[in-house]
This record gives sequence, structure tokens and C-alpha cells, in this order.
Amino acid sequence: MLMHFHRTFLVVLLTCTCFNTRLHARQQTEIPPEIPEPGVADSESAGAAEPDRVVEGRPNLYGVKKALHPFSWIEWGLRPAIQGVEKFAAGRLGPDAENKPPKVSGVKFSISGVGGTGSSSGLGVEVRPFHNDLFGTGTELEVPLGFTVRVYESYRFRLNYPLVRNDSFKRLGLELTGRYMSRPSESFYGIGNNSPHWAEARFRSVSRTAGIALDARFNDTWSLRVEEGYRSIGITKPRNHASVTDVFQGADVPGLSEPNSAMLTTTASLQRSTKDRTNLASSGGLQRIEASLNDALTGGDFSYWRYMAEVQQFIPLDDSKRKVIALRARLETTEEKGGSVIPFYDLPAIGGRQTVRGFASRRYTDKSAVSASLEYRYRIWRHVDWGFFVDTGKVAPEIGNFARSRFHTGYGIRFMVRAKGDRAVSIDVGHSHEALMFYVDFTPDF
Amino acid sequence: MRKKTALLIAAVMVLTLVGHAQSEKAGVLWVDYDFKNIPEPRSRDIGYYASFFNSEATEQWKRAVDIPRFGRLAVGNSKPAANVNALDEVPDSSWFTNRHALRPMKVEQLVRGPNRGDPPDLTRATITKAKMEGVTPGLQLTDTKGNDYIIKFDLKNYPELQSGAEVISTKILYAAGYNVPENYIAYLDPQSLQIKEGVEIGLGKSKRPFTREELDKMLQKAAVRPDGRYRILASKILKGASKGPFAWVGLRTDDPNDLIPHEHRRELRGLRVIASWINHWDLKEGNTLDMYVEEGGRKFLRHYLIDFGSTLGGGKNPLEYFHGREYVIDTGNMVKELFTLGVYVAPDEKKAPLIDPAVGIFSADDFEPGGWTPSFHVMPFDNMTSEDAYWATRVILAFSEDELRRIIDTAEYTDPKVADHLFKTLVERRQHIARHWFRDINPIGSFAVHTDKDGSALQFEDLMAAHDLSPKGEYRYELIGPEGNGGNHREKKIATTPQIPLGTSGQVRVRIWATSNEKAKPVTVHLQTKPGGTLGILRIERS
Repeated sequence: MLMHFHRTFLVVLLTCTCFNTRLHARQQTEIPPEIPEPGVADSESAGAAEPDRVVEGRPNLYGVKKALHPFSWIEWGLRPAIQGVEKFAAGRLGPDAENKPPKVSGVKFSISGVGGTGSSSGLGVEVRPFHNDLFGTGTELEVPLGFTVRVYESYRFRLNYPLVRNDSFKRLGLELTGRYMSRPSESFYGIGNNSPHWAEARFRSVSRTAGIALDARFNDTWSLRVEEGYRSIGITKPRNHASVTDVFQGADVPGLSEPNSAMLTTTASLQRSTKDRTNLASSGGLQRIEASLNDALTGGDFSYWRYMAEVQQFIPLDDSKRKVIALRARLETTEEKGGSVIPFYDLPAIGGRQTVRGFASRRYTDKSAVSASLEYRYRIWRHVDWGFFVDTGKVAPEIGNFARSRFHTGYGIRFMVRAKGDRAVSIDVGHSHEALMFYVDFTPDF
Repeated sequence: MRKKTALLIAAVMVLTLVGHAQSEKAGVLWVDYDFKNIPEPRSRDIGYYASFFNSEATEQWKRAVDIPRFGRLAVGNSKPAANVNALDEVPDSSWFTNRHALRPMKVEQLVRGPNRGDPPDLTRATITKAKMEGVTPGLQLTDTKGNDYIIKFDLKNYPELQSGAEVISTKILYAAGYNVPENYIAYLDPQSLQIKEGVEIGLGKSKRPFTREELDKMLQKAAVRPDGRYRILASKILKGASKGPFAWVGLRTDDPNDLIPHEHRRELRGLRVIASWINHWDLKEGNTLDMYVEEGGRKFLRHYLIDFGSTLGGGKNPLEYFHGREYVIDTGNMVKELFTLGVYVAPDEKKAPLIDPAVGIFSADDFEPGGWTPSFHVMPFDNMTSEDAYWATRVILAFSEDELRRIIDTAEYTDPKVADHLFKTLVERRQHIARHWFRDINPIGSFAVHTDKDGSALQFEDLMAAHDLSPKGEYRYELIGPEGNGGNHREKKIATTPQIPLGTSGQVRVRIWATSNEKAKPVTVHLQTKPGGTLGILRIERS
């Protein structure tokens, strides 16, 4: 038995040794075989080594490991969507799109946020049919229709017929406008620079506006607009919050006891813009003044002047405009005519995207408001900027009441994406002693 | 009991021997035979954005959570390339053919490159397709002889830039061993062009008939010569059926010949060094192509690199400095800019002067081989080991200066100063590359056993010294032979020339250190007596 085993053992050893030697012998080739042009595929027929591979097979479980990787699932899950977008966007993106002239008419779809319907509206969708040369007359028509997740609605139309268009006068247009806007939950904290946060109450507003305007664009820098508008406003209770009518007394808050009113507003504004782009400018500036006279036709003794001035300046710190200091100042004041009053929803305010971002929208209201912003922006990628800002503001009954103390200050960070053309998105996070606010803005004009 | 023990010993020996045999299986194999007949695969074209998302997002995320890889990096044991033979070389395959580095090509072959015919005859050419995508607008046409070409124009303000770069890079990559298309410089009179009926331009909804007006519009963006003709790059349509780009990562499941994960192919890893030399920054998957070809009676996939317009100083915007210096989405630089409040100056912010419209800003002045970065993540590049880098550096060092000059001449630059600049730049960049990648690795290679009446000697080449990148040094070596009964016999000596006498016969190992770089690991050359009695190289180990 033992002899038999020894014999078997020796046979196994010999076999293994022979196998090993054969392998070594076969692989003694030192000099690479000549390559028959044009490809090595013919090397077999040219007498090269018998077909063999440098590896035995695919790595163990290679495909299984890939299939089990959660990131592979993400990739496979998103791929059809990405391919769909690529197919959909074919011709809209890429070099071919750059070569195309701008569209004269069509429908634009966009994410509509605070820009279309005001602060705290939440994100939504805006569908905007447009035509920039109606009937070949150069008439501009657009009908932006916006709806947000918080059920804010804004339906507008604008028709601008060119009265004058020439080299020295870019465009003088007669403009008709209209708008329906529903804001289901607006905050109101009382009037004054010290109104407490706990006094927050809400109201729902529905407004319908129609206007006619002369819109003069002298050149790329200067523009002037004069508008006569009719506005009807209805104030009602919000659905799920304490109502302003329950929290505040009508005598303290003008307009509270007149829930429905109609007003005639005459507005004139003059603007000078040297910004290098409308959204997220890197250089230039904007100066704008506006004055309006508001008279109630029905619903209350509302009659007042309103004045507004805004300055934006963008100071590039280097030639490439990658580092920019952005400044903004805004002053708004109102003045009653005679013994009339100003309804609380029309009072100047601070708080929100356009004034002090660390506070809720229209956090402080009074007859005058002033705010200023200082921002440092810098490029972190070709299409992405990062920024830090500090905002401050104050409200007061009169401009003369503004003092250097008791300003409400907020600060925050900003993430900005610039796309081709003038498209941009900014995500702002503002902080103050009483709130942390987030803003997503698809038309960040500052 | 004794029986069981003996069986166990036998089993261990069998496993050891078989294991040894298998480890030796990746021996001196010069053809990795992946040309076997396969059924026609599907076309793999996942699209630009899906491919972009894959390379810039998911593959990066996977890499970030690849714990075993971090473990290997921590112990300095990166995963080696999977397709190298026992001599640490890349066998020929459908991906790569050893050319100038291993089988020196004649100057005529280098100058000819992949081109197998005459330049296109465009005296009566017909446009069969048109495109606005890519670096430059392009047309597909059939020439007078019936051959199909994709033609690309030089940008209006940069005459000769793209076409010159493409021709030079094609020839360099071909000589290096890659599959590339036949690319020719040609001159086109647009009046001689006919447009085939039904040709369209644009994508999706912007698709429209390609008319003479569209052609004129296209030509307005192209550089025109004083004689009214256009210098073009004509790329001959590849033989076979296009099956879309190959992936930088993974395997093609419908190709049974595809056994080696692409990220572990040495020729793709080492391409990083070669690409850095010629500044081939646009290495997205879309610039690769699998062709289902029929050769020698077999049908299989051959893997190509295509579109070299964005090499040397070429590109859609030749003044953009960041190409070759950072990724399109470079999170590292973004984080640096973010946390330094913009004080860190990323390559994207920098500028370089235009050297010449036909050169762009291509130079060697601020070239850092280790920091060279393609615009898109290429996973094999990230996996490159020092052995892969050594291999690729040796490939580019194979070109003599005269050969380089002759290759550059094929770009037919009008101004000889352009050719001079490119020659000087390529030579300088190559020196930077060699100094960088040979810094941590033993620069000796090209081993051969020379036998004469005095016996055998192991000859090799010190690539640094041979290219005047370091003074001639000495070589410390250790001969490990099977002499004596008590185990391995070791001799330690110094050689003043790249030649080591092999006094012993039988199986010998030689470990060699270059004294010019003592930090680098030695190269171990395994030798064995061949059937004729002479010594031959069995295996080379670099780490």
C-alpha cells in the first residue's frame, strides 16, 4: 500500500515538474516577432506564438462588484435622464446653439422662484410664451405664467409696440401691461423699527393690475419709463396662520379695516445701467430713481407719494473680474397727501432678498426704509462664484429719523452660477439674530 | 498517518508548482491574442453628458470610497498594470502595437505614420455629411478617388494650428504604438465642392439642409490662404463598422476578447505621459473609437484614439491657459479658491502670450509633467504607477531629435520658425518628463544578453545618461546564482559601464542599482539557460 502511494506521489511530482518546464520552455521568446503591416492580427499566420492571452480571463467578480456598487446604480439610474436631456437639448446647447440667431418667438420654460412672485413664494415653474416681432412690426409680447409650490400665482402679459426705433434713439415703445397675482401667506410684524418677531401675523393678498406706459430706451445705458396703472387689491385671511386682523387693531395699522381697495398709480422712473451683464454683474453699476403717486379710487383714504432710489456698483479687483466687490444701497420713502394714509401692505420695508437677507421678507415696515449691502464675490470655477455679504437696514417714519444706531444687520454666504448668455442662478443663505434664510434666485440682478 | 502527511505534502507541492507555473504564465508573451472572432457588438455611444457624468462624477465617487485602494497606496503597493509580460512590456494587441520603442522604425515609416495611401484628391469632391460640433466645424466628403474623409478646417485666426497639431500628434501616437486614423494635410478649393442631396446640418430641431450658403457661413470661420484655398485636415474614415467610443473604465461586456479592465491597461495608463508630452488634453471618451474590423479572416474590435486637434497648442480657444493644467471641473482647485477667498490663482485665471497663431501658447516654460492634467478625468491616468510612467517615458525617448524634426516637417508649416519652436518645445518637454518620471525609478532598461568568446554579459541602457539627462554613473549589482549546495550564491560588485559580466551558468538573478539614483529600487533581471546553452532573459522586475 505504502509502495503504491510512493509511486503515485512520484508520478504527481514528475507531472507537475514537466508541466512547469513546458511552460517555461514555451515562454523563452526574447525577441518580439516582427509586425507584419498593417496589423498584428496577421502575426498568427506569420508564425508567431500560438494564440494566447496575457491573462487567463476577466478578473474574478469584476462585473459583479461593479453591478453591486451603489454609485453604479446612481449612474445607471440617471443615464436615461441625462441622455434624454441631451437629446432634448440637441441644438440648444453646444457650439451649434451658439451659432444660431436669437429666437424671435417661442415658449420659454424656467424655474420661477422669488423673482417672479416675490420673497417667500417658494420655487415654481414659469412658462413664458413670447414673440419679439409680432406681425413684423417689432412689437414685443410676452405672457409669463408662474405658479409655485406654495401656491403663489402670477400671470402677466406685456405688449410693447415700438413708436420710434432708430440709431440715435434705441426704442420708444408704447406698453400695455397686466397682471394677476395671488400671494396666499404674507407676513406682517407691525409697523416700526422695533416690531417684535413674536407679533408675526399673516394675510393673503390678491391683486389685479392693468397699465399703460411709455418705455424709452435711449441707448444701452439710459432708460425712462412713465406708467399709468390701475390696481385692485384684496386682503383676506390666510389659511393656516394667525391673521393680521386677529393680531392687530385696525386703528394701528392703516388699511387693515379696508380689505378691498382700488388705486390709480402714476409712476415715473429713470435708470442708468452700465452693468456688464444684467444678472450677477462683474463691473459697472446701476442707478435708478422712481417716483409714484398713488390715489385710492375705492376702499379707503389712500393717497401718497412714493420715492425710491437704488444704487448698485460692481468693482472688479482684477483684470479678469474674478474678484468683485459689489455694493448696493436702497432708499425708499413715502409721503401722505393731506390727511390720507398709506396702506400697511404698501409701506416700505426691509428684510428679504433685495434688502437685508438675514431677515424674513418685509420684516420691518414703516414709511421710510433704507438698506445697504456689501458683498465680496470671487470665482471658484469658470461658471461658479462664491460670495460673502453683509446687509444692513432700518425703517423709520421719516428720512430725518434715520440714525446710525439700531440698524438691523445680517450676513451670509452666496453661491452663484453663471451660464451662457445672461442666465444665472444664485443661492443665498442669510443669517441674523432671529432667522436663517435661504433664497434661490433665477434672476439675480445684484 | 504517514499516508495523510505525505498526501498533504504532495497536495501542497502540487499547488505550489501549479501556482508557480501560473505566475510564470504571464511570461514573455509578445502578442496578447485578442483578435479572436467575435459576433458583431452593439454600438456603444452613451452620449457626451452621460459619459461626462460617468467620468467626472460616479467614477470619482467610486474612487473616493475605494478603501482597498487607499490601503494599497498607504503601503506603497499600487495595483500594477494587468497586461504586461515578464519583461514588463506591453504585448501587441488590438489596442496597441509595439512600434518605435521596441522595433525601431525607419524615418520614412515615422514620416508616413498610419497613412497608407496618397493624400486625398479633392479636385472633384462631394460633401456627404456636415457638422458644427467639435473643436472646429467639419465636413465628411468623398474625394475624386472615392475615398471618404472627415475634413476639418483651421480656425480663422489660427491658420495651420489645428491641422498641424493633428498631423504631428497622429504620427507620434502611431509610432508610440496606438491605433490612429490616417490623417492628411490637404488644400481645398471650395468652388470644386459638390453637396450631395439630402445633406443636413445641426441637431434636433435646428436640423436644416446643408446648402452652399451654410458652407460659406462655415468657411467664414475658417482660415483661408492667400490663394483662396483652405488648408484642411483630412482624416480618412476608418475601416470597419463604428461601435462607439471605448470606456476608460471597465470592460466591454459584448466583446469576449476584452479581458483586461481598461483602467489597468498599461498602454492607457502610460498614455498620460505621452499625452502630457504633446499636450493632448481633450481625452474624453468621445475621442476614442472601437471599430469592428475584419482582418486575417477574423472579425474583432480594434480600439482607436481619434481627433488630435486639441493637442500641442490646438483647441477651440487656443488662448485658454488651463488646458493641460486642470480638469474642466477641478474640485481640488475649486476648494483651494474657496478657502483662500480667491487668493489662490488657479490655472484658469492665468494667461500666456500667443507665441504664434500656428503655435498657440504651447511651450515648455511652465510645463510640469507630474502636474499635467487632461481636461476630463481619465481613470487609467489616475492609476498610473511609476512602472507605467517609466514604460511610457521610454517610449517617447525612442524618438531621436532628427526623427522628431522630420515628423514635425510633415505638418507643412509655412513659417519655419513654427516648426523650430515646436521641435524645441517637444524636446524640452520630453526632458522635463524624463527627469520627473525617472526621479523615483531606476532608469535602466533595454536589457539584452550578449555572448562572445569571453562569456556572457548582461547589457542594458541607462536612459538618463543616454539622453544626457544625468552624468554617466556606476551601477551596483548583485549576482544571485544557484552555485554551491548551501543555497544561493551572492556576489556584489560595481560596474562602470552598463554591462554586467555573467560568470555563472544556469538560473541567475541580477539585481542592479544605478548609483545616480540610489533611492530607486533595483531592477532584478532573471536569467535562464536556453536550450542551446546560452543565457536568456526570463523575467524583469522593477519593484
